Amino acid sequence: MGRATTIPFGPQHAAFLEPLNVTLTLEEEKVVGAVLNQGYNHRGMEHALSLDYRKSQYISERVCGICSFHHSTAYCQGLESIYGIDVPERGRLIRTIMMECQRLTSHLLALGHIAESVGYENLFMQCFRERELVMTLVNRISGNRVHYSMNVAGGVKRDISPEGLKDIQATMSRLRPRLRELHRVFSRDRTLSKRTKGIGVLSNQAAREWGNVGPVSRASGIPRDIRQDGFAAYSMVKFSPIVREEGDCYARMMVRMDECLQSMDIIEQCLPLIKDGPVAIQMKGHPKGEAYSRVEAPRGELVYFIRANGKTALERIKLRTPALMNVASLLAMLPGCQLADVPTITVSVDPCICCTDR
Amino acid sequence: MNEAGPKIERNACLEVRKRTKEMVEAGARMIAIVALEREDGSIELIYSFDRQPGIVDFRFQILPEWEVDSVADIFTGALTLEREVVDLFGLKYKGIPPGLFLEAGKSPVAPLRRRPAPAKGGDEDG
Amino acid sequence: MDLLAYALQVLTVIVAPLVVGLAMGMDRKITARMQNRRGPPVLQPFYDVGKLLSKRPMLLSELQATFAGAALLFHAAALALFVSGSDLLVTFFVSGTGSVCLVMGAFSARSPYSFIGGQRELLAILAYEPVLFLVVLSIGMRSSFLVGDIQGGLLHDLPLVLLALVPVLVVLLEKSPFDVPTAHQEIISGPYVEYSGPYLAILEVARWFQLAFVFGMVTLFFWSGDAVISIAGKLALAFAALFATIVIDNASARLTRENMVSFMLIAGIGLVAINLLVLFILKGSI
Repeated sequence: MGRATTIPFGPQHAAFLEPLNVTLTLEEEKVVGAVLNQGYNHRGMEHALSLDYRKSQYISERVCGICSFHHSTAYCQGLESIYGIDVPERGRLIRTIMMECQRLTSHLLALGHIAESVGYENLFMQCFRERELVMTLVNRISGNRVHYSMNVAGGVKRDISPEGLKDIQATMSRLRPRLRELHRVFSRDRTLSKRTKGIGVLSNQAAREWGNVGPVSRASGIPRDIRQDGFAAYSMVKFSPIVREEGDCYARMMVRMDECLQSMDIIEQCLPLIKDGPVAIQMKGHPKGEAYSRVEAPRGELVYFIRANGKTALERIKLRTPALMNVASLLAMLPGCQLADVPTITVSVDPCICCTDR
Repeated sequence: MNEAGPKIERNACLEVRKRTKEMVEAGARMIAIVALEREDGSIELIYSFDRQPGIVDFRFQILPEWEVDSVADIFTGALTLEREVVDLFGLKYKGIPPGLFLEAGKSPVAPLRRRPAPAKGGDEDG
Repeated sequence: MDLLAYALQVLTVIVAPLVVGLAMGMDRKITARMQNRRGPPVLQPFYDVGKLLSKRPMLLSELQATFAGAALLFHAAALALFVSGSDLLVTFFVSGTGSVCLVMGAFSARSPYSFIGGQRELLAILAYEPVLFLVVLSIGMRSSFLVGDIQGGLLHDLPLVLLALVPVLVVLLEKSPFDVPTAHQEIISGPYVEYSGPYLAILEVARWFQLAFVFGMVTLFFWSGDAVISIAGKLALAFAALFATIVIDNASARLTRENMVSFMLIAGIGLVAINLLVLFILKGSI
């Protein structure tokens, strides 16, 4: 045809879980231009979080539903470093376990979503079936499926009982063969790899320029994982970042799949390390000072900048969510692809619009 | 850390490019642009970078009317971060359009700036 | 006697699409069970159509309604011709016209999604119609072009031709890997996207007629002197074909347009050609 048409992809679209709009310019079905429109979900979280630092640990969980524990951990870590205290070891290990559980649920959701975006409903259902194991596990441990509400500044407010630890171990043993099977399907399925290999390539150079983080950057060959910095209890466990070189949708998918297996390793390494002891310490007075706090959320580096001036309201709290950087880099991946690949590419960066817009 | 904060200087708006370039050339990855409004109504901008093993930043203070140089051509990912500051703080960046999160004419203007008078409930600061 | 035969034919034309509707419900149920879901009731397709009919009609252009109606008429006519035992070739072309009407309906709405869906539907027609045509030709050459004269032996002689019908059914049933025209996650529902309410119901029923015709072609492969065995065998064969598409759907991702066209043409035509060649070598004639 040669005549360019413009089509709106979203904000309401079957491929997206959340409102995001990509305005595509098409020549026949080839994408020649893309414009991102976001902000449909902007709730002013930075303002809400700065109102009262004591309540913000609950609000910070509500920024996002699939990395809520990472948000509250980042927030509490920030406060802890302003107060200059160290969380007891047991508290840090529990945080690590819960963060890895959440990474499992989040990655399984992302993987299922990728499968769904190429019309592979059965695989999508299978991902969610295995995800349910983890969801019910965290429900038994924290009492909640999504917002665990276990973090407080200074540690965690809910201990894991010895039975709970056994439960985690048992669930991991049940989950491992299932995830291996899932790994086999994702890595070997022919139709799936036909739709993901070589699609939406993000070169190493582009990933550096766009400041990509998390699995998206690691799939483009940047060996950076904030967990290596050793926050929470990550300094006590052994792991190395999972890096792939291809930079396409397949690489992003497989990085997530491998990270699921890695998360189980980390959890199993943490379990024997847990010793009796306090899980949290009390903090006194209002915070005063400023701090950066970083965690590796499922989508990548999550940064909180907190400046407090000794009042209940924080002077400034700034969230730099991983999805903000990753979603923006879609502009580097979309031009030149086919319309059929647009859902796969957008979903492969795991766009969490709640995080992006805040 | 920086209790007093840097001085309000006009040419900081231009120097930002040089300082960012130094950082990026040293292999740093830009993490965030933190903007915050100080007591005197000036805006403090903190450009933070990931340069292993930790976070490094440079900061400067400007008046809200001043136009800041964009660094999006030095570090592409900065585009989103700058647009966010433009939207939430009403700052001007050279060549950066508003409208990442907010819609002109419909959304509140510069929602993270202090209001002269409390507009709606719960909007007070400090 | 003649009157009874006519009544039987009219009854078949009415009942066949309803059976297809029921099969759609079973399809959803089986798919759900394969995915560890509960799934909707078997009668859900009928509830859906009923609900669509009760909605307020809305149109972007008058032509949409015209083409929806035309699609229904052509597909119904094709089934009627098929059931009355007339020429298979004519039936095939009438049914093909119905498919083109769907595309025209999609083009008549000014919507990019509908337009892209229409283009993809055209491509799908280009992919499956040649295969369907060859199937018709091979049935006709082996036995007879007149549906009424076709008798047993097709399954025995033309097994690969029957196999070639399975990818055609995959496209028509809008299942992965070839649900390209209506790709839910890409272009929502493609040609159907600008239809709603009763007009969507018309298109859905038109699709049932079309599927009844294609499943009817599948049933031609089984024939027995005994009417009961004949009907049971025909139903079993149609169900087997449906089940095969469900399994394929659940074990594959959606492929692209290019994959669809090349696979359909190469595999479909290839299967028919191999079958006919083997038949020729074995029997000395087609």
